[in-house]
Amino acid sequence: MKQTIFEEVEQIFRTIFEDDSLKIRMDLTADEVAMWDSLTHLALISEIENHFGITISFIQLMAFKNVGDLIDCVEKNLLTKTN
Amino acid sequence: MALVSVFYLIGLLIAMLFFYGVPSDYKRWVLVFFSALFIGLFNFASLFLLLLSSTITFFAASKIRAKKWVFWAMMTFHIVCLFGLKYLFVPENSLGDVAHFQQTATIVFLGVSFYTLQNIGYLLAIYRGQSEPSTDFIAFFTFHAFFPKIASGPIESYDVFGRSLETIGETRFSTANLIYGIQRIALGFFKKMVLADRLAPLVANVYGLESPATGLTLWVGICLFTLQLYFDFSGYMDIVLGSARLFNIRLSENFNRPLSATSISELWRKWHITLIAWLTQFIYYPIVYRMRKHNRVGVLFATAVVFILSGYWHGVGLTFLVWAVWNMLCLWYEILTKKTRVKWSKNTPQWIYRPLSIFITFNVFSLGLLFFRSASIADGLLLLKGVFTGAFLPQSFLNDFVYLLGMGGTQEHLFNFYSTTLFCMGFLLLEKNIYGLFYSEKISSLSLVVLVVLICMFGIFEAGSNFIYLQF
Repeated sequence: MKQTIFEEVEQIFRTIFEDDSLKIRMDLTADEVAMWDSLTHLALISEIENHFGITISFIQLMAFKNVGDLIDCVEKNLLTKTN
Repeated sequence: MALVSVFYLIGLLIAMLFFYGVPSDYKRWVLVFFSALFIGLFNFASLFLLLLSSTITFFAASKIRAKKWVFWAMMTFHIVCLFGLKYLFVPENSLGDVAHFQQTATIVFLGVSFYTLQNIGYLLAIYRGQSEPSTDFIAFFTFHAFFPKIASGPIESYDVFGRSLETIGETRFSTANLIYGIQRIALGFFKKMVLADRLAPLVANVYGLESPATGLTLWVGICLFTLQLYFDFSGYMDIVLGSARLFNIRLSENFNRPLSATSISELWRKWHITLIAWLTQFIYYPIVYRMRKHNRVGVLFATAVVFILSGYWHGVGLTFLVWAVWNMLCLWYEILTKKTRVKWSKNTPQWIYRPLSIFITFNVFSLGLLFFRSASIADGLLLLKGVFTGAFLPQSFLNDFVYLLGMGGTQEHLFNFYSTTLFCMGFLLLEKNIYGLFYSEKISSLSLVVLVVLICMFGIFEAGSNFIYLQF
């Protein structure tokens, strides 16, 4: 499941950052992507919420340190949704 | 008590001797005693308000999750402290002086703008479930009152700074901390006494509308305030962080070479870092999160709220509002043109792009500070008009530039002008290396001796109490 989420999230990153060659890693942080600021960050979150049909809470959002945290959070929210 | 004074250094030494001399269980009481003494020497009202504010926040914190009204009552109390008490008892005419930077404004409650933000942040983090209430009142009180930081920050979070105070009894003396502390305090004294205070008369001359300078000369004079404010505030922070380190306390950095920033948004991540971090965490992100479906509008709106609040936090005058709106507009521009600017930076050689960006950022930031420093908006506009009056470039370097900025050109004034500009430029160019030497646990004896000699030779010894940021 995680791998599928990873690939779908990568595709969302590519759309938001308008870069088809962008490759994400679990330990990727905002400092490494030139266009990743609070504006694109929120666009990213909003797009991920729409795509997966989940809601990321404010507390979860504030705890993100890297892409790995984001993907773990999506997985957790999807599991809660299906249960 | 002024931080740049022999009195402070002696007090610091005595506090240290007691701190390392007493048994573990009493170390926390040494910090409480010297902090209370420091604030009490300023005035009793400050000590009383701090004690009141800390006590009710400490006891209310465990109840705010269960009882919403307690949370809202606490928020109201702190907001009244922040925006009400800060100005309530200040005589009307001295409010004007705050704006005039005469520094005669009566500071009634020392540090209220700083520890109130700490209290609000502490309560919000508990309310949201991100943090647990403190169970150690002495640690909680010292978290606010710790004497080096009470007057001007840095603004800390309880989870980082406060929790470290809970185990302060285990602190052992270390030579590394002593060296770091002494070197950092010495550098703070240098920044304040040799750089900021020598710039002060040049800046006061320009902003007091006394200088007949126009064009580029006037603009340079206006920009000197940016340097003065930076050296003044960051020098103060060096003394604060150096003093704290003597007790093995690591406070957060407030500056990270902001004048080397290549954009206004980068500059605001490197200037007064703990205030901006607080505003980002507790104001900016909650707004942006709630408005995330509106994309840009949310970000632009949140930026506006943050800067207008920041302007009001600095002062009630319209000049601070203009300063805030100017910075907001700059950030709006940067948010909306990010894509183009990333493209420019990729397509331009870095040796052109970087220095040019730093130069533009510095000038744009200084334009905002022109209103921050001016006595009124009319004065600010008058200065700005002066920049565009007559020939922009000085006809004669000595007569139209050096003599005008050096206040008439007597031997003493010229010496001050040349030595100050030389020191400031040298410092900024070598800033990274200087910090490498002085923010270090290894002693660099030669540099320290040179620094002390420079302070003794060029330092201004009368103006120690006038730190610009004490008034906010």
